Amino acid sequence: MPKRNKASGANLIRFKLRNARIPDAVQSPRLTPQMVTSILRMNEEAVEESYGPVRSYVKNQLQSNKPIEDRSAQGHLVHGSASLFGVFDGHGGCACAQAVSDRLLSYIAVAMAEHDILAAINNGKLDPTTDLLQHIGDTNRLVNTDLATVHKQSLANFAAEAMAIAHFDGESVKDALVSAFLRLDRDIVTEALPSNLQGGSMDMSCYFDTLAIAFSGAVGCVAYIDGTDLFLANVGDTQAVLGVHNDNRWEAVPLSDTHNADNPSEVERITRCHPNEAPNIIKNRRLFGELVPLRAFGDVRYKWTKTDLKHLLNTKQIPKHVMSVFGDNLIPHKYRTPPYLDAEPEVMHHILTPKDKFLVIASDGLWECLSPDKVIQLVAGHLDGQQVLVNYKPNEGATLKEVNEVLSNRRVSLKNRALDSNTATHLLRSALGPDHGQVSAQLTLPQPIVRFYRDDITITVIFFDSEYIKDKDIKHTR
Amino acid sequence: MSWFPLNRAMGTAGVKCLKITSPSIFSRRILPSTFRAAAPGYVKTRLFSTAEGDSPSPEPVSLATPPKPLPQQARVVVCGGGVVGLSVAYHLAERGWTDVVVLEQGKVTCGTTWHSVGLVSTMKATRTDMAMTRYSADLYKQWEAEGEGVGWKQCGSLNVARTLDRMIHLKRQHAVAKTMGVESQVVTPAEIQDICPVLRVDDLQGGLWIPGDGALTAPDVAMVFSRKAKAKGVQVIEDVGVEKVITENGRVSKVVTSAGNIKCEYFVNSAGLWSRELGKRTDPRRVNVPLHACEHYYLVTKPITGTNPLMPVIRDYDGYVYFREWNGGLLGGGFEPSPKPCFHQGPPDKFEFQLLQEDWDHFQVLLTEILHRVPAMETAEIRQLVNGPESFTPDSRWLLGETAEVANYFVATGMNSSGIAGAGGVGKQVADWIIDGRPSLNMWAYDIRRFIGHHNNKRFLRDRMQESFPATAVLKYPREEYTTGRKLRCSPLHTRQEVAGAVFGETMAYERAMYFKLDDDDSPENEDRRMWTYTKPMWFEAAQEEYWACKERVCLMDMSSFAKFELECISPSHSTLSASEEVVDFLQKLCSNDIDVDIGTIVHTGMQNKYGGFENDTTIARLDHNHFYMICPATQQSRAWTWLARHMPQDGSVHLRDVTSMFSGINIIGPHAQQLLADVSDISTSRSDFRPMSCKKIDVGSASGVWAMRLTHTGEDGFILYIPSEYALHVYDILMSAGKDYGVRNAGYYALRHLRIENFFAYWGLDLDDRTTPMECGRGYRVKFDKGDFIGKAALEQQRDHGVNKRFVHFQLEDYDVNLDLWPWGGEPIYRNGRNAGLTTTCGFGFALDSMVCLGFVRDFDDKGVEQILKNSNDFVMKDAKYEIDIAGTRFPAKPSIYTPKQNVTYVDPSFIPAPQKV
Repeated sequence: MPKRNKASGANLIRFKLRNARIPDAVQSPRLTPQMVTSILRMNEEAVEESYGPVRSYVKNQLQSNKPIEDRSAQGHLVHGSASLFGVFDGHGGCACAQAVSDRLLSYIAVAMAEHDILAAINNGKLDPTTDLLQHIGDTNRLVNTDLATVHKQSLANFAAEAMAIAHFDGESVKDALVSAFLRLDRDIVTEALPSNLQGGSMDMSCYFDTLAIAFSGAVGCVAYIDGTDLFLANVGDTQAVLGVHNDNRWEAVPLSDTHNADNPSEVERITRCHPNEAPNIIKNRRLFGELVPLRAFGDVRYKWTKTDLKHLLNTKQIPKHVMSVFGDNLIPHKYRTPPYLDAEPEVMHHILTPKDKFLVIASDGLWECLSPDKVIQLVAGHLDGQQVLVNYKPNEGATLKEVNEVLSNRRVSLKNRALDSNTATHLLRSALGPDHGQVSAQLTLPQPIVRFYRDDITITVIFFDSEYIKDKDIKHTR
Repeated sequence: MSWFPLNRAMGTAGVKCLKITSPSIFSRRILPSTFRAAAPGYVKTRLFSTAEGDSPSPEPVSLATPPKPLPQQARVVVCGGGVVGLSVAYHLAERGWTDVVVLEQGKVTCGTTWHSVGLVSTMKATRTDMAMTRYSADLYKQWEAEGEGVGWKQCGSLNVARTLDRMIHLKRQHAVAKTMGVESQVVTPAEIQDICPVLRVDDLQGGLWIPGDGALTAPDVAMVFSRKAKAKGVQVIEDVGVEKVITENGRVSKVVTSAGNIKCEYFVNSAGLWSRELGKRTDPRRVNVPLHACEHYYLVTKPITGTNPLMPVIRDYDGYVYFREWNGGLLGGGFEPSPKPCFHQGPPDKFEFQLLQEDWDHFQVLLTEILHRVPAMETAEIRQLVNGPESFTPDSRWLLGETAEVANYFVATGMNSSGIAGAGGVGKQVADWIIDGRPSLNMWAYDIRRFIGHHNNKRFLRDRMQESFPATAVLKYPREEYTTGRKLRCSPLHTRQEVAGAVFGETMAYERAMYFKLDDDDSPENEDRRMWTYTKPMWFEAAQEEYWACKERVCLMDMSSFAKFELECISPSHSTLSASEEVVDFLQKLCSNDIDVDIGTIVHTGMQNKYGGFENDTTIARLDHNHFYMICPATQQSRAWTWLARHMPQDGSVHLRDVTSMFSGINIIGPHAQQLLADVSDISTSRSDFRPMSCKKIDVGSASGVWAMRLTHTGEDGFILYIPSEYALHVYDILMSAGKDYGVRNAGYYALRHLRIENFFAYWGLDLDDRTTPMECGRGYRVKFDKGDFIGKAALEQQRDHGVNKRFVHFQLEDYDVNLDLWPWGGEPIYRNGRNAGLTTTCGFGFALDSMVCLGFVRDFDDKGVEQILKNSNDFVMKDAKYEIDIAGTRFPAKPSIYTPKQNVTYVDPSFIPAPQKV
């Protein structure tokens, strides 16, 4: 979603559209249904691989920004049985979201690692970027080798320091997640400090990359699933909602709070840290009238000291385009007591029960179009419809009455059969339309305008294995 | 080898059952046994086992037999070794035509016959249907008695009704069955319970019990046909597919097969599912065989204790389902309303003894109905769900007869899931058709020439499956229109009529306004007054308005759907039309009336076949010396063309053009018509200047080249304008605006129908057919015996001199309340002095007569039901005769007439209208 000046821009554009008298894009779709479907399915992914309580997951993505600023990442911890699913939403460019999606899961892996693993890393026996985490699904890792070296070094440092802190083993999952988030953010912030360039530890182009990462920003949400434990660490306005099937009814249970000005406790948290500055910080429901999320990775304009920022402005080698997006006011107005922003996640812990059927993690692009309740209904309906995708064959010895009862139930489900077999694509289509004309209109919005209508959308739906959970549940209670 | 345990002898039924119920036999008989390489998505299943005893079994025997050499030539080649193809071959052989080859691409019965349920029902929609299925049933019964072993089980059948309308339908069938001596009985729910205790009856209105019906083993019937045909010299050759049919001069000449060529005189396409594709492989001109495959489901249960092996066949068509006993269990199948058409791209070449993947979800709607009707099945276990493809036609009637495209190319296919019941009768009729040139019954309803090219459109066929598949079960009301495949052919006036409130019907895919909604007609509120009903329909008042407008004022009626042809001589050697006589000679030979009339004169004439029957009933206008314009009923478009083309002089001197789409027709009916036409044209329309039955080329408004003919096809005065289609809208608009003060309005076909029925006008296809002669329908005056020879002259002379078989009669029902009583719709039995004398053909309310009018033929049947010659038909009809017409079991007294009743004749020159004069 556009983080800056959305409302006025949209009004302006709508006004222009009205005068242009072009054909109504909804009534006269410019795309054929086939085209719409192939666009919607371009980025879809489905992994049918059971891993602990996770039966399978699907994801999909639709861009609004060019290039898209959303990212997602999934992985298993090599040591242990946990799965990680992250959805990240960048702003001011995609660099930060890319870096967070590349790095955050490894940071969590390090934060979770036991002492002997960390020791192995320090001895060079394990590579912290590759040996702790097994990525699953598509990973679009774009980092160049120089930058990768920098990132790897930072991670190794983190591992070393983690080991140095005594009794790290005893740390709770929650603390580990928090420390991984904070540490990654700290690394992003410090890697871009001008001192790195002067110190000669980085060459120029690599430094520019770190700058791009640090000056852009990202929010994100990571689900950590291990046995029946589900932890959700969230920074910013990405959301995770659990689909709970209770007494034949579907219920949406949000597992994250959004960190923006709509959340009074967040506003209070910031103003508490910066007493007497309240009117300056939150303007127009944004941080300094600019940024929607009140927690984020990167965005060093709200984190660095004024000195550092000024220093950067004066550094001759910095090409103008890196900073030019912020215009003349790189330093926000009345910027007094930084940092104003951090990446401390809010972590929620949920114990999975057999009633918990799936988890939807999505960037705010989805939640702007669909309410959590609607999303859960759609996924549940789709799930129901999918059950009848498989041809029914009666069991040997079943009576006709039994067969008919099963078939009658399936008949209801048949109505839920959707156009898209991928649940994430189904959500995407429902968010944009679901009618063909509406979806086509959304997909043909010209590039400068599209951001005023919708944000990038990234959806990950994780399906739980109720049998596994039931099993664990019983053992647990015993 | 019989599939069914009770085949051999009823006496040993119990023993057989016991034997059959052993599991090992089950697995052999019903469950999938051998799976060979099957086309993807299809299930290869054998339903019955290999042979024991004398009956040849499809597979193993054939494998053992060395392939027969293909004959070089044969008189008739039948393509398709299913029950129908074999029946045609058998019946040809029965009549002495033994030089017949049956080609089967796989094994005999391997396409559809093998998975047929084997029901033989004689209770059908029409008398012809009944006659044919009864012939089949009698044949099979006889065979069973002779020990041929077709598994005939005379268990009777019970058709039950959940609704009152279904009950009326059954009673109407019962009334017709009675006239044919088919035993049937209307039964109450309690009686149903007695006949078949396993049925749930608390929601039934009643039913019809037909004790003579039965069930049998379908493949065995095919085998007997095959065996008996072979015994007479017919060759049945398996594993030979027909690749192409080659024609010469529009006639069949050669069949190209996978094993060589066969020269032949006649070809019969009985290829079932493959018929349409086979038709396309005709060289050089493809043959249209409009049918499409559809999935048909039935379920067979494992044995249910206490099942009566002689349980009647149950048809609960309000729930779309039927039942029969099956190896100690029950079989339940049906014709669901949203079927699944299949093989849209044509059936696979190899589909032998194969079924389609069963879709239980699709079957659920039927399963619910099955369990509803027979609750005992709830606890039964499944033996097999069978999904076998069958072929269906656009109107759910069989495709029989010689094709329009190629002479001597016959079809006997498109059996609409009643192949076994139909096979005997169909085989007989088609064999007669080939040998005699015509079938022994009126087969127009099944004649493949009832279709035109568009009916073979694949998408149309697939869409129509949604109606033609369930048609077996779903109650179809009289005159009910299809909803799929609509708005295909629309006249230029269609949109205008639509705006004017027209409700359309369809004939040959042509949209025709049936009536125009009255201003105060608000259909949704008229829920209780239905469009389709056995009683007074909701369009009655609207048709009445239109009728009176035609009688007293003037109406415009769109007649564009009528088939129109132009015949002229374009021989280069006769550059001036007036010099030559080719077209006149040609038409004189075909028509029974004299068409050598003055230019500008119109003649109503029949085109007779050699038996004197109406091949066609046309109106011919002589436009020029050697140039004729011919108007036929819309349904004749294909048939009339074929008849004309087949008799055309070989030298190509007569040129025939189908101009149906070139001209739109507007009928101006009513006493003010002549004034209205005078107002908008530049001619005098007085009766002296523009005589009835004459035509002129005139200008109407700013449109030129309009053929105006003074006739209306209704018996009323008026004109038909045949307008080049692009001018039609202009002409219509100008007539509408000029006619405002004459009270002009639109009228639809219901008004036309009521006018012509009341006026005793017979229509071809409805009243007249190829077995009716002009002498029998009061049109002897139109037969000119002294004009020279014409086709059918001898037969007509014979009738003139010795009497006719039947007589067309106009009946007015008495003691009849049009608002309350069930309506006659055609097909009601006529009783003369208490004895059946035939059926009505068409009926309609006579508004001027203020009574219900039925038209129909009266015959004299002797005690054996044989038609007697009527020496003096007038006396027979009118003297000492009391008539009754049976509508769904109620007999109404009827007043006969052999002329148009006097009070109905209008005087077209009312004294107060001065004849228009033009200077």
